[in-house]
Amino acid sequence: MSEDLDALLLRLRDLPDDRAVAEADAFFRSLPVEQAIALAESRPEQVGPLEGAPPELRYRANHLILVAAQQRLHALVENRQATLAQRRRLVTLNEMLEPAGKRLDADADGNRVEVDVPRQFLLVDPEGQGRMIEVQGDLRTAKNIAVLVPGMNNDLERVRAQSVRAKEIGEEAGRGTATIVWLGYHAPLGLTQGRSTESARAAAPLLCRFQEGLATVRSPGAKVTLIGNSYGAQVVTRAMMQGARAHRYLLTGSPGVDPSVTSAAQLTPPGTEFFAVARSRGDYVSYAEQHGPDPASFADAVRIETDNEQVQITGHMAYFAKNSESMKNVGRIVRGELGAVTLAARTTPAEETRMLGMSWAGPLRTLGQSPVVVPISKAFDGLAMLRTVASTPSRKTVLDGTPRSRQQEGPER
Amino acid sequence: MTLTEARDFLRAELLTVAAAAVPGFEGIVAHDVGPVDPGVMSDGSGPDTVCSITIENGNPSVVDPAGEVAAAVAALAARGWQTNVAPVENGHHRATAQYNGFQVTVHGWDDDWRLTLSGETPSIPE
Repeated sequence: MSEDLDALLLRLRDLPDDRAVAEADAFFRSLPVEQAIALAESRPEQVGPLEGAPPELRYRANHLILVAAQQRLHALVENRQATLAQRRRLVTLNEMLEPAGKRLDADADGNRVEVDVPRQFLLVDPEGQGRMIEVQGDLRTAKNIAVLVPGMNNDLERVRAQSVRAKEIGEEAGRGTATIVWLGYHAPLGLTQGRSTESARAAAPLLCRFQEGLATVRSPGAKVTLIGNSYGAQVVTRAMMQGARAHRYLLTGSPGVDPSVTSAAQLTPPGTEFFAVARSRGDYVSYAEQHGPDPASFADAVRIETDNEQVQITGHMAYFAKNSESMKNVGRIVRGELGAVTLAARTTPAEETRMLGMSWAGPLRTLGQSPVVVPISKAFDGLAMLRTVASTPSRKTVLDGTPRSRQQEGPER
Repeated sequence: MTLTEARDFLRAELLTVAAAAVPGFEGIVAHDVGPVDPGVMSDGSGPDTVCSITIENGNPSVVDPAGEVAAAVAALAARGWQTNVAPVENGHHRATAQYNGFQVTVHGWDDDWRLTLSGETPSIPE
């Protein structure tokens, strides 16, 4: 059986995405349940990240990967051999092994019960910068699925904050929604890497295959919304250009798309139900157009409103601010209430950045594309690194947070 | 107010309001993971300055999103929160509330007996 898996993995490597995930799906369907579970448990490194494999098996495999990594790092910390980065990582792994929370449900007799919500990972790469794909909700039964691709400076240590954001989008979209944080790529760390499209180019084929894999496990009527924010929007547009499969797409705070793209129509794959963009007032990242034209400026783009009377957002960081119109619109798009989506006025960057009769969007674009920004980026990155080192928890704190005898069963098939 | 104090205040407020919204039932803390970076989707390098908490409540034998959201809004208003009730959108009953930088959203759905109260503290660097 293990040899069959090796042969499958070898075969999948060069297949187109749709055929690869179909073959993986067929392979696991052909196995008796006990054998499939045994394979996930004996070969977690191979089954955990495999697109097309049943999510329940992948959750189990990735849980085992997490437990193994946690135990390895715990031993290093205990023996005073861990680096600061390993100490931080152990704190992260401990959190990733905790339940996601609780929810209310009704039992067979209609009585109210509290149910633990397990963590569900479709990918865990605990080494180095780290990668992960976390699912909240039931992929098999969800009516709507939102896939969130975050931007730069996101390593495994940010998983808690990502999970909270996904939770809030799920709440806006309502019951029957599954949300996925897709940090299946090495996001650029620091402004220097963020100026390059290299990470996005490497991520695009991974995201395409992930989207194909999703198509094999979701219910036939479920709709998928792919959301890219900031550098994540660069990832999503590169994947869209390679045919990444989704029903709806939303780009927020885009740093620009490939310079060859000049319209929304050019970007959207066949079968797209909805494509929208958001650019809030004062979004310096979108104005800088460091990676190419801002899709919010395309004549045929649907541009969603970001502000309402309760919450006005400015700049680049607040597209998912609680109770903002952009967050409400994210919920409407994910649950398919497209007629209720509120649209922004078609203002230009010059109009959005006028101060004392002058616009700062044009000079920002010029500066962002000038060589002078390179040394500035490097200096900023150095300061950010110092801040990370200073915030590393103590050895005692880390060890105290690592239960030695926890029952780590995790999700089962 | 420290972030820890803000988190404790928010949790207590949400639980009180959840209990007032669903007669005879206490809310449960569905999510409360501690400080997070509010701008993480754009740039993960920021500090963890807010806490987000979700409370669920409901009576499995009663589906009354309009009544429960209205009761939650009344309880919030009575406690000094500035409230706003949005028009119902295709079965989604939604209200918001603000108080000294705290934000709360109340969600009810026509096809669901559960009421969700979700809150966020103001941004407070630790």
